[in-house]
Amino acid sequence: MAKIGVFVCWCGSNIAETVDVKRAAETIAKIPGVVYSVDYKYMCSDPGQDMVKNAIKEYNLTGVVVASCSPRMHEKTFRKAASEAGLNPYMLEMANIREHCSWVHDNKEEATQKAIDLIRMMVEKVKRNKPLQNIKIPVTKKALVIGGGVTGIQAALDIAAGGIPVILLEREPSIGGHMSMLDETFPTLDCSQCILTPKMVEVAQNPLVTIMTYSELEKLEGFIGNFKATIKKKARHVNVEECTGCGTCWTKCPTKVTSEFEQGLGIRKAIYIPFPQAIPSRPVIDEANCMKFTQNRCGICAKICPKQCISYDDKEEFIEIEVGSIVVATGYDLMPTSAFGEYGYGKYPDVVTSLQFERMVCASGPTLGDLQRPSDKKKPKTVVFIQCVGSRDPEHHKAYCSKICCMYTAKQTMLYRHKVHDGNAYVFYIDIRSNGKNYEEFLRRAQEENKAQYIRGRVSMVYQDGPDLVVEGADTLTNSQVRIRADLVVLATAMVSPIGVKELAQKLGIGYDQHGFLTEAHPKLRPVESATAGIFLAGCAISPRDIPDSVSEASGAAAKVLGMLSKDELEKEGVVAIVRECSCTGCQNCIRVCPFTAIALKDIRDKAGNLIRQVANVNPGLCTGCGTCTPTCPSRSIDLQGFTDEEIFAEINAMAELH
Amino acid sequence: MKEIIEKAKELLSQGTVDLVIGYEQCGDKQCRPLFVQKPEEADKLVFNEFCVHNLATYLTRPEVKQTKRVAIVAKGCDIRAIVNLIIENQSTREHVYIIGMNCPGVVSGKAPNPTKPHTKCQTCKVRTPQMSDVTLGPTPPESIPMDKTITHPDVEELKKKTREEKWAFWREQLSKCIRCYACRQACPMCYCNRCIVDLNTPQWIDTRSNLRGNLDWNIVRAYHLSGRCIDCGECERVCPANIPLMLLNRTLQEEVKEKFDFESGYDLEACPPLTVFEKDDHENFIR
Repeated sequence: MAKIGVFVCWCGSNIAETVDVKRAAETIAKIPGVVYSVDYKYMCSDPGQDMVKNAIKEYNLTGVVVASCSPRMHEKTFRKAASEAGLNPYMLEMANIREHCSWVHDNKEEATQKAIDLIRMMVEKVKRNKPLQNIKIPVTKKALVIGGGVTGIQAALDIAAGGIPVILLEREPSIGGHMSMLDETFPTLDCSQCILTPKMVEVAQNPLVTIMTYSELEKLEGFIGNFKATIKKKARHVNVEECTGCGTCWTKCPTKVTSEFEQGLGIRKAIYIPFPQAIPSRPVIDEANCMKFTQNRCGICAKICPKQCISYDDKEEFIEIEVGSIVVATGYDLMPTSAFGEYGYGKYPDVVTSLQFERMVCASGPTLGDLQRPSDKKKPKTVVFIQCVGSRDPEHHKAYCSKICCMYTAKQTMLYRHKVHDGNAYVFYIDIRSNGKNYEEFLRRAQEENKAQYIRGRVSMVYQDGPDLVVEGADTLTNSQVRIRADLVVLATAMVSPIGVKELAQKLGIGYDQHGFLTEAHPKLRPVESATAGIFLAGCAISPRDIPDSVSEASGAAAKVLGMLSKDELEKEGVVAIVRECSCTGCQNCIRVCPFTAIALKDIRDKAGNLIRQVANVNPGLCTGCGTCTPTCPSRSIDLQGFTDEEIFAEINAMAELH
Repeated sequence: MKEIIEKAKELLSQGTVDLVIGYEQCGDKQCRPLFVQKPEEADKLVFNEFCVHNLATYLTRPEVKQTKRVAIVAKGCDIRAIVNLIIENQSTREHVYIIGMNCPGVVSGKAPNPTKPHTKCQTCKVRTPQMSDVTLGPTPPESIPMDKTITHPDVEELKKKTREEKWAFWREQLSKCIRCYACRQACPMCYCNRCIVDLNTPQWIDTRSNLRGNLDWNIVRAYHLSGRCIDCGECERVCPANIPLMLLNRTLQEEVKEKFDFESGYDLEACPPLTVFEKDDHENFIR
């Protein structure tokens, strides 16, 4: 005979203001099987938990219902308490009378009735609950970091520092990401490459880190602690082991291609390394442009290579790796500038993006740091910077703020003045956001010492007039129209999620928002976790961030990985599917719908070993208890423990009989 | 039908199969299933327009499953059921020897006067059977092309009704159900050894022959068949209450065709669309 205890929480006034908790507790006490029913101000407090523990012992309770907040909040708390009092934790259920009741209603009478119904349903369920055991699963002590920018590099370094082997995956030919393209960085004006390349070298030299460049995730199977990733290694056509990076091949290659690394301002060859400090410093053949692939001629690089390490027949390879945890640090792209016709990007060569400007002033850039405007190589005397291009523009583009543009624009005005001492830098802005350590001071320096002239307002259009560009805009502080003749216009375009992130997120089974930015498990309290256990997030993959934020998140995600992989076994909830083999027909519906490939066919054989039939079989380690399989079974032969048909049916009946 | 008899004898005497499932004549205008285990019993085998039954339904019976290999006399439409059974892991292509019959069409209506042609034959895409191990019978009239979308006039009529009229229509039709489960027994796709209706902890479906239980049962069965029904019409043929079950099934199949561009039973590699998900599946049902 069931002996159920019911504990109705006031949650201060959160519940008690809208629900007559006393009446609820008294009404529930009359349900057959309920031997104890009580209300209390804060059930989650220590005294509240003690009430549960004491009642379990005193009344020998077989089941407990705590009527309070969402189980997402305190189910763990109360199940732990129940377990400490000797009750199987799965014999405790929560009735959510806060989020599902008091917070969404204002009529006290009706809310009280609903609360009673909700509790009654859980009482009927818990009467039919069965004790379950947690499942222990082994852990692969190895991590995968996706994205080899500064965020991914930092995450890989920190994970390796904890003694865990890491695979660092990068789809481009070299690690380094966007940071390797920058000139100097705010707010300290240290050279980006000077601070990044030591980290790149460190990660390359670390014996626990395996760097896989020019590679992408093809497929992910498995679950927390036991992922199996298939990596697609794109055909590099260069034997990385044999190659010494001598450079003979790309010096002699006759095919010139605009360089992605130089943002279209410089050229590279069809066999190339993206930049001198690339890691690995091994070239790659760009099949789309190499004449050997497009026209089946040339072949100079293979002939000339002193170590014969070029092979045009290389095919992409697929490599399977097993890892326990994954960090996704896929970074960002800039919004395609074709979207901004009014600023004349693409039409006028002297309208450039902020990233192009970085390359124009960078000592390692195509002009070796000599600032020349693209059209006629002239040193620009007047530069107009336009902020919020595509950002903070919900009508046309992105509603969000790209966060870093205010600061890098200020920095770029400084870099400009350092190159052109008598130059004029104008900045069109909407608001200025400089909320970081030393950011405001940095901005003041740009304005006061470097004489950047800030104009609050939007630019309506940019057009060419002779050799100059004319920028027309509004100054909303003086309420006047502004017209500036400029030599160069720099657009601070919005940061967007990179191409392919949605597909990657689908492979990983993690969420993303309407902009393609990855979704955190909780925006405040679990900011570096995805909703899928074992997969963590860091950096601009989540939303626009600057370098300090990205790097700290990388360390945060690494700490999460290390915490998880420090254990030999992970414990997971016992809420998993179970097959009734006697009635299973082996039709494979459940196998096909299972998003976690947790179900497989099992052979049933007679004593002589002859195959009689096949049935579905659940791997409890893989099963997440999502329940997708159960409704698809035509004969109801697969059930979810903890949410069995019988339990759910009892809940529905309890509600239906009342009305 | 000498060639069927000869083929059956050959298969049995050579030990290729240990059972042949076919048809025998019983009365002028009726045939019935025949199970042949010995070559000398094969003489009764026939094939004519009264061979309506979908014999594939027997493939999932334990007695048939236990055979080393079974031969089955199958029309093109019956082979669709065999295809589904293989996809759903209830049979294997190796276990079944398909004696495919070229088929000009079979009769509909019930004995003793089954005279009108069967509705399904008017839209048949497989008068020449696919995937058979041997094909017998004279060349039939040309089939409807595979890529043609079939719309049934009775489904069109039903669609014209308002929601209330449809509800009233089905209430009236399904209230006639006496819960004999003949539909389930005849259906080649209903092979569960324990049907959901026989489940009593909990009992999702009321087993009494009242309107609620009848709606539950027939709607659940139709739903279980969506994307799987191969339009053989056996449920409707065996229904003693004359419920237009095929109207219900065809409506769902046309829906599946429209939503997923899928017709079941033609492709051994295809899975019932409601049991798979693809990234580019329609999501317009989420509102």
